[in-house]
Amino acid sequence: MEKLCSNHIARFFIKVILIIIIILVIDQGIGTILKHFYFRQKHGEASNITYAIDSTVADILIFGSSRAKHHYIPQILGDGLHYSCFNVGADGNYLLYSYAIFKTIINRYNPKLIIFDIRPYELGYIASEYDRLSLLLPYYQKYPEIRQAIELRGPFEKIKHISAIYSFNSLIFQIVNGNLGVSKPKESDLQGYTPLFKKMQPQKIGTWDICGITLDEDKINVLKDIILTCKQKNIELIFVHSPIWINMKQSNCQNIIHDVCFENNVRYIDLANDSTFMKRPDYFEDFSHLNNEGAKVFSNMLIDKIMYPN
Amino acid sequence: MIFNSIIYLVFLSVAVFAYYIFPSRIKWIWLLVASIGYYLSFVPIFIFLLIALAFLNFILAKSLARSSEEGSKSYFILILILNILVLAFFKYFNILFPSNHFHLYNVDFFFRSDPINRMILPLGLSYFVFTLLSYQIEIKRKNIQPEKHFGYFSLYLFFFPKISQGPIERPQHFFPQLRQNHVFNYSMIVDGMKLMLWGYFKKLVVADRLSIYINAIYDNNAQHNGSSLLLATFFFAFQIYADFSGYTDIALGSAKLFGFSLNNNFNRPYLATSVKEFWNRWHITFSTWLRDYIFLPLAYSLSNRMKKQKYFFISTDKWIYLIVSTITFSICGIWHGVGWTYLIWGVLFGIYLTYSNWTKNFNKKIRKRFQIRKASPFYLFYKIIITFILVLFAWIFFRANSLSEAISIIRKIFTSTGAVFYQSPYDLIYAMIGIISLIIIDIKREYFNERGSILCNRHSIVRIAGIIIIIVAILLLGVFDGGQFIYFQF
Repeated sequence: MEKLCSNHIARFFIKVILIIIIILVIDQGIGTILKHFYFRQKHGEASNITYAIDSTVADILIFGSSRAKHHYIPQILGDGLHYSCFNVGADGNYLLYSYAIFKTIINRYNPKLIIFDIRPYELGYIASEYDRLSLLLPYYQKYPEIRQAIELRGPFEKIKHISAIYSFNSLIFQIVNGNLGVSKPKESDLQGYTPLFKKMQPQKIGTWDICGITLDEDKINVLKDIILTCKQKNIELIFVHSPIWINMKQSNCQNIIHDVCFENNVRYIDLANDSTFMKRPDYFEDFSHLNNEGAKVFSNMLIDKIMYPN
Repeated sequence: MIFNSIIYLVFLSVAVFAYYIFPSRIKWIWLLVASIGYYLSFVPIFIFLLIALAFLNFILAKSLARSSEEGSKSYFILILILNILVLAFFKYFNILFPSNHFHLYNVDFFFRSDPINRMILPLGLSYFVFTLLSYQIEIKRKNIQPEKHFGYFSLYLFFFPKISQGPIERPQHFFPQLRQNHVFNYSMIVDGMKLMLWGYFKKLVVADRLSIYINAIYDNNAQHNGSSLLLATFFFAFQIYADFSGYTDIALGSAKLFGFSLNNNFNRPYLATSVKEFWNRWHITFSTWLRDYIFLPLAYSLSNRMKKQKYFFISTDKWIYLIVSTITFSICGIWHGVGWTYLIWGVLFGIYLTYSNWTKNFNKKIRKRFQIRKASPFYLFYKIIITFILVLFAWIFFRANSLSEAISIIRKIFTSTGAVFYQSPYDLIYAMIGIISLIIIDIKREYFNERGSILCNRHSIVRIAGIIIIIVAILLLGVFDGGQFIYFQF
């Protein structure tokens, strides 16, 4: 009986080890193929990120979330300020994401001006923002700055990255489309900007009171590091709160951003509730995003604010 | 230490490895230590409450068994009140006394407390209390003798694969297994691992993927049209199934690794041909608990008290069915949470069952009139679809954040059409892949031979290939940032 049992244990462990080896081999094989095709993408969000990290040498860089991606038109800003411009904004990704990309690009070259689109509650703790760093998983192995940001997601990221497939989790269809999709406009023509074309139905302006939000120490440190790095590298830095169809009450977070900017002599342009936009619901696609029309007005207005601060 | 975490897998591996090293006589001690360790990884303070409850019930059960017929009644009522009061206190305190803030706990694990330190439900308390009640009722009915070994009794309650979300084990099924000598059983361990793997697939690839879309729509339902709300409701039906049955598979698989066989909770519920059958296939250990300890005793008691005659041209039996099923499913609803949405969800099922019971003869006549065979595939398909739609309608109340939201969602589904919302088409593609694979597997298991499936194939190459495909699918399509299991909150 005992012998039979130990035979079973041996058989079990041999099979488990065999399956683990096969899985590791298959995982590395599939992972390598996905990696190859991921970095070959010519269309879509991934190609924009890769371009921003690896290739852009624009003088002006715009960082932020979807609000950055849909509000700042690089062509208008570039023409107005007489520099080249690229928009690095990404849907659903915020300060931590921007920071990772910022650090990677700064390691490569020094842009002349960096515009950070920032939300008033940017420094609040929002767990999902850590999850959303998954957009950067394909860059984990190659870029130490991105690795550092991804490891903020949890203590097991290093272990998870033993798998080569994990970096490309939930990306298979994007990779296929990014390699095959030919009908889409080339994002490179728009320099990272993605226009929105719908118009919001006129609606009452809501109010957000986000006082009392729990501050995220990681984000405060990130903000301070961005300011410090720009100072050290002599890069002009401007934080901008772009228009929103919401009346923003003062919050702890906003005060901290103001305080940090004030202490470090960094410009903060608040156009959140600028009257030009608050009278024009047709400039918005939804309460949080300007449409292409609104983005044009906003980009031109921003040029004036940057060029003529007073 | 939720099941879908790396730390759980490490914990489980260590627990299993040590379990088979320890000599038989102390295996239960190790299992109890591991179970308490597992519980302590959540909100440690509640372990004292659970130990106290276990000890009190252990003592009271002995007195219950010893006492005379008259005395046992009072003991039994005392036991019922004690357990139900403890559960009700934690479960409904915040809702019944919204202005009272108990600053007992500063921790907020798994979002089950609100930010101002309100009372939170101890993990698994509902299941713990239902298991205790099951034990006491079986003693009262003289189906079992009280357990003499407090260690075994504690393990029956604390066994970690089942403590957080069940299954609710009956004492007759669990105690004999505690006395068995659990040696390394190759096939049981392999079965357990396969079950866990399939559970992880359901949770990570199906449930957590669907939750992204559902949360986006339901949490902002005012901004979405009826088409998106309908799709989100359809997705929710599969999310809750994949989530809870995925948890159950992981729980059953984990238990198998220690040589324990727990009761299954799911048997392809969306292939049920009636609402009654749905409840025979959905959360089985809970629905049989309700049937055996509430529905049948209540029905028996009422039928003894009511005269056999017709009231408003309807027989007593049918009235009894209406009353008893409404009460039972109201309790079922309230067990899930206080609020009109849960109550209506439960009552809806009571109404469905009553309608089906009252129209049984009428349906028979219709089938006969139109010569429809009961086993005809078209008729079965029709019944599956009708049952699914009824269940889907009930899920709206279960998922909505309030009754007014539920009503608004229903109104929109019927009146506000338009294009389906999606942030990225890929989200919908991934969601559909999960749902379709789940449906295919369930259909295969229901109507075709289980042995042909890839995980149970007679060729080991196919079995290994199946395991690898599922692991690669999890890595490729799984959502690794997903949260807790839905039934944790109950």
